[in-house]
Amino acid sequence: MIRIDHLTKRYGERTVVNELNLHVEAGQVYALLGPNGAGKSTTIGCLLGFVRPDAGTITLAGSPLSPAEAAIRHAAYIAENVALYERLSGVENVDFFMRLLGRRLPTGEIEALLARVGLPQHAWHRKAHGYSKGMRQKVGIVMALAKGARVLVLDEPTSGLDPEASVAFGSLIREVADGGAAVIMATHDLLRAQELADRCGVLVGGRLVSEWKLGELNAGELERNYLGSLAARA
Amino acid sequence: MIRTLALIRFDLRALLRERGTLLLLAAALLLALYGLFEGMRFHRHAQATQHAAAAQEAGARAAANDLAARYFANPDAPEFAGLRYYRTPVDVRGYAFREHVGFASLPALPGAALAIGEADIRPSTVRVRAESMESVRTAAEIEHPARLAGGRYDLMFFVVYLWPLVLLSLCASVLTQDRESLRLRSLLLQGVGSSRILFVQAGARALLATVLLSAVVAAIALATGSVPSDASGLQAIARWAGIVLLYSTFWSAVAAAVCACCASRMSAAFAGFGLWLLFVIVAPAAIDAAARLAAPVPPRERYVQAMRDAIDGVNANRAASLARFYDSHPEWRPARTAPGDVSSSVSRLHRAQELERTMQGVEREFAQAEGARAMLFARLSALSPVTLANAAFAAAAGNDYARHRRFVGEVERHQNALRDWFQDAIQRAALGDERTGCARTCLGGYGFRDFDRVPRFSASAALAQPTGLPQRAWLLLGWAGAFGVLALAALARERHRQQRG
Amino acid sequence: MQANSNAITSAASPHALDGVGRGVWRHAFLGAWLADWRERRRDWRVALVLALGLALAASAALLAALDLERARSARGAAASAESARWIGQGSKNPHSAAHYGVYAFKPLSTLAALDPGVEHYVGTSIWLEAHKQNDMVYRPAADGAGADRQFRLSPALVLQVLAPAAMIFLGFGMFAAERERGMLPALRLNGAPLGAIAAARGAVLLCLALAMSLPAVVAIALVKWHAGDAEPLHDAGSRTLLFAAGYLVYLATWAALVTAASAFASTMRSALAMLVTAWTLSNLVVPRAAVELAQAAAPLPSTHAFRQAIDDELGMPDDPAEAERHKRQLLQQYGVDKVEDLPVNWSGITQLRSEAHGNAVFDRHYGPLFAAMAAQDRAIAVAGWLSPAVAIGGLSSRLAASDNASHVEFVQAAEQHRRLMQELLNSDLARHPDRDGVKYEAGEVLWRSIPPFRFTYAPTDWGQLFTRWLLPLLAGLGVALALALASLRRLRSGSVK
Repeated sequence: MIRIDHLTKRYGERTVVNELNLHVEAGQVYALLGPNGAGKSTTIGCLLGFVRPDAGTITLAGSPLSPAEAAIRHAAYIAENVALYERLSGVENVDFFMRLLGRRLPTGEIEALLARVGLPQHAWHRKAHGYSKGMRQKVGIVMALAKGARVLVLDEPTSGLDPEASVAFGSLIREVADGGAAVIMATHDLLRAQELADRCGVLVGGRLVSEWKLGELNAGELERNYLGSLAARA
Repeated sequence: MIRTLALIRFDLRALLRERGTLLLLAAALLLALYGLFEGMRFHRHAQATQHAAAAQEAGARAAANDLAARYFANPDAPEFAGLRYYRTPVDVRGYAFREHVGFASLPALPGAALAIGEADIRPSTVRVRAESMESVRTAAEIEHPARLAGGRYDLMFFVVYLWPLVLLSLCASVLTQDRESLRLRSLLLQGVGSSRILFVQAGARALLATVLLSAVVAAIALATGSVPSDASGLQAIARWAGIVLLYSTFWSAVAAAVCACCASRMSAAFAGFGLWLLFVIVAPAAIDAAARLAAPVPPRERYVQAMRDAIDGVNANRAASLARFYDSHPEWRPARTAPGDVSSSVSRLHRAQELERTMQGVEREFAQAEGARAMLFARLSALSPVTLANAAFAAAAGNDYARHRRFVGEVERHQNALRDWFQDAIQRAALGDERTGCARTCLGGYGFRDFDRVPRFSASAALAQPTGLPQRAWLLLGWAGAFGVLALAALARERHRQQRG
Repeated sequence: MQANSNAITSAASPHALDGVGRGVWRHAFLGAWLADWRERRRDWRVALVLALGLALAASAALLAALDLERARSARGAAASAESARWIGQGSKNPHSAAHYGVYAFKPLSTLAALDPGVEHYVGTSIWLEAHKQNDMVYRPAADGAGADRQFRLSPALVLQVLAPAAMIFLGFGMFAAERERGMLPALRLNGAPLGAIAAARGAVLLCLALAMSLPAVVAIALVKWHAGDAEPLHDAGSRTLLFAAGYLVYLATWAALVTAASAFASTMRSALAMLVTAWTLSNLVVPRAAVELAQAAAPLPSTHAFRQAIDDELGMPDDPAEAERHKRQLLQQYGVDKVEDLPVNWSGITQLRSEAHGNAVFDRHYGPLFAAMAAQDRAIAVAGWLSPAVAIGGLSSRLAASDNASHVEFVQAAEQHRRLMQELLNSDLARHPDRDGVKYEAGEVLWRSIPPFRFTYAPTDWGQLFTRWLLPLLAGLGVALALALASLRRLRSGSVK
């Protein structure tokens, strides 16, 4: 699970994240919405231990460790553009990242994971240089699965994906969440958020101004609520 | 350990799959082998010169023996009708001042082909004349001066000047590419710190390239005979490879520092080239300029004038100095000839010694100035890793200034012995000639046939012995350490900045 | 260095190109020029590179000027001392004076302060004595401590090696940065002639590089002011002008190459890589390889073999039969029976014959040696078509009279003077027979009759200079400009990526 309590971060005079409280339980998908500059990336940075907050606490997977250490043990991160080693194949990329964790995965197991996420077989041993964005996202998911991540952090994961790939990606995320991981997804994609997330929050000016359970809203309602939240803060 | 090995293994795998990397390494090896070829050619030419000199010396001695056998058997033979005493070996004066052929050769070390160093301006084979060291001091090989001015393209040139560019190119993407592609966060989340990524990958790339270079050069050098295929040759290769490794360590530390500071590969390439220019061209040029300014050597025109003044002085005081000479060597004093009337060929060596005595002050002044400049340069070279590497390669190959100076010192001792030997021979011959009064060159007078007893130069064992890895080369590790610390500081600063925002 | 983007906003609309092309071009050039200067002035990296470059250039110029002054002063003093020594040597047999000889010292041109060429590696003085064609001795490099074998700071190094590097630093992002930032479409749509923008940016680069030559100009002016009679060039003025023009062409070539690479490359990194590779090959590899390969064109003998060949020939006496015939002819001419009764000095005549014999031997050996060196010079010059650095290096040292050909010129002039000296001394000896067993002695009158050795370099062979150095340099500029034009065409109509 992910627990953020009273998170505050300032850059000079500007408060980028302001007393943010956010909880995501295991098995849940949380969509973090908000305009550019709302503080989503900073929140993610704090969550993963890349940015030191000025105030507040972050707990990942119930671990007493610092966010940085807990993230190493329990978290996986999929950026907007999953950066793979271009000259290594999909299998080699996964193998490499796992070895960095100190684990050796047999090639068969990696291939099984790649098959599970739907990466075409002909791409498994092909250099990542030729992978599409969707294929890279799939490799990112495999790394999260292979790591056994209990926290999955996504940053604009469906940006640039075609609708089919976007749907496929969403299913995989659902699968990961159903496996017990807490997923937080920073996104502008309201449609995917509505389809995928259990809950969503709107971050504006570093504050969480609204939160909804998405099972209660359809896409149109979500959009109206979202825009209404932005207008209220303007 | 598994993490470190993974960082190395997969990074090298990805690197070697890049066509550009393979082309770069291939081009580097070709350039290195061309340099080795040039060094080998120079070394073989020097060896050929030494052999030719030895053959000429032996041939001249054999010819002199043969001529002496024929002449002293029948001096009145028609073939000897036009013989002039000053142009023939059978007269000790002619032999000492013209016909004597004696060379001194600096033995080549096993690794000589690996670095030409200063061997092109300080010849390894010099003719030694009884009269003075002038022929040794002004010895020069016939070369197009542009070859000397531009410097040789040899293996040392490649390693010192071009190899760093190869290393910097290979390492410019370490960490910077991860930053550019935003892959760094994913790597950090695997529990691998940026400093480990940086030093392990930069180190592995540089080490792989260095091992490849060393192995290929070693194999070709041994196969072509550039370096002897025996224990001494292998030791020479090992010394050379050791210096290459130290030098590569320095430049990989520079690359690491650059990659730690720069956000992108482009910035790293830019900064790397700038540092290369600074270390390879600017720093050595600055050291040279500083040494020239702070420790000037007097102009040689002053030396020439001092020598001319000394010659004038010696000639003006000839009679008096000869009298002093015969006072200290009464066994050579002529019975019937006044010192002032002694022939110039008999007093010639004495005059040469008088000239040297008169020039001692000037010689010392020049030697001290050169020594001061050499010392200053050696001290300042600690500030220039490239200069350190240059000096180390030249010293390991035995083609450095210091070794040549030791050689000249041994030649000087030999030349003194040679002069003393001929002085004794000429003075006794003069006494004999006074007694016998031969109309022509004859035994008992100036006749001479002791060619085999004339001292010959032999280099000391110490001169033929290679030294170990030059001490000052280890300073390169200090420089590498400094840049390593700089890299760590840059990474810490980056982490702090990211944390604080 | 980031290219400036302000130039994009500077130009006229595409429609204006149609009738007033040149005006548009000028307008675009001026706009881009001003925008680029504005950008450069605000960029601390430009200031850093320029400051470093100027510091190096100033140090080089100062050192060079001091070195030249010192060398000229020393050689001038030594030459005067030799002259006084020769005149004041007292009465002696002319043949003794011939053996006493005189030292000659090689003069240095003012331009040699900028480009010392081979001066550091050739002898500075030569002993002119009887029976021997000596070599020049006392190379400054032999007194060095090894520092000299690395890069020696001189204005030529700054202009030939460091200035192009500075241009690469300052200009590699000229167009590549815009391509990388995705501003290429905007640049195209702007309508300003890319050639005008490129010319303006290239001109700015050139001006920055030329700024590094200012200290050299100052140094030359100062040295020239002190030179007085010490200048061994008649045509110093025209040489200096061509020297400056040559460097202008060289730096313009690099400005064009930087423009071409930046316009051609898809990323700044590949532009930098291309330029660094070109610079390394042109400045470091090709010049050395050219000199090495030139050895194959005309190999030089080893010193050992050369000296042995001369000694062997000199060792053979002058034809005794011919000498005997000459003697009998003289005896008959003067109607005497003995050499001692001749009204001429047979010893002097013998010396004349001996010198003639020796001179023929020297010519037979030194002639081919110098011819081989000249052949190597020609071979090296061919590399000027591949590397602008070789072309400018050759032109620069030739004009500064610090190249090998100039050195050989001095050596040959010194040898001619030596032969003149021997001819005059031996002729005087021949005219004055010994009397009553007393050897003839000459005095100050004869010594003064020997003209002092004053050397100036021959006027420049403009034809040779043009074909050997200037033409390759200009061709290099042409090729660089063509590459720049082709790259700009690609920039205008090729892929935006």
